[in-house]
Amino acid sequence: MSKFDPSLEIVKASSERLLPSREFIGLLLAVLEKGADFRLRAKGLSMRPFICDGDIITIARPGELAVGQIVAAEQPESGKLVIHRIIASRRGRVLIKGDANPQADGWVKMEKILGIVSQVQRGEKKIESSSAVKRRLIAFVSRQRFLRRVRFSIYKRLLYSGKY
Amino acid sequence: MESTVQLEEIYQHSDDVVVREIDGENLIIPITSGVGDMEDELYSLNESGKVIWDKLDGKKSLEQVAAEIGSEYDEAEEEIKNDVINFVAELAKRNILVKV
Repeated sequence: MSKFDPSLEIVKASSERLLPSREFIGLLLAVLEKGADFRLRAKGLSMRPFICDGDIITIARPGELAVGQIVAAEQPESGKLVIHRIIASRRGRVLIKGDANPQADGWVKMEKILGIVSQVQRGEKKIESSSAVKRRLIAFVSRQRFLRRVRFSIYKRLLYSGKY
Repeated sequence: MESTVQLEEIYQHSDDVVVREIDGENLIIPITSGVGDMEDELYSLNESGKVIWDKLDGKKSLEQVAAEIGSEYDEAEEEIKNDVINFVAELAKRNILVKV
């Protein structure tokens, strides 16, 4: 018989280890299904400069989806959780893409969108959401392939005003 | 601080928690003020903790839980009772378990 030694540990740096896991999406959905929001730490550079590595993101249940919104979704190819922007919408599906990524993730059915980003916190500071018009503009720049090389500079100079 | 949890008491899982097994790890995320906080409030149960957790069904007293565990593990009865009480007190303090 094995030794009986119960313990409850606080899991640290959990996002880094668990975020890539497909089962992690189940945890996110279970929290949202309880009507609660879900807070986690962003990992990676794909949404720079709007969301940076280490920012704390709050995800809420999806309402009406619109181009420009940042959403949590299962990446069509890998099945992993991504937090990327809707850059186009067509016949009940949305095209999602990381703002700093060269290519889109692919088309996702709207009902497959897991949640929307409702808050971004960087250190002690809460980052405000850009206006709907500005978010659409960011999405437009993001989907222009010919702008790939200068996109980051455009974001930084024209579109990034310290809001996501 | 001395534990206020008593062996004759009955405990159950709070409605405001989500439990999932990920990569063989038993994870608990409490919902606090309408938020499941992955960053500051994610807990992991070890195997023995999971044994207690699974037996806390809102019907059995902690004494009954400890007796069941005693029949499964080669440990002194008093030690198991203390383990159960301390473990339940730890989870109750965090509102992960509630007294029936």
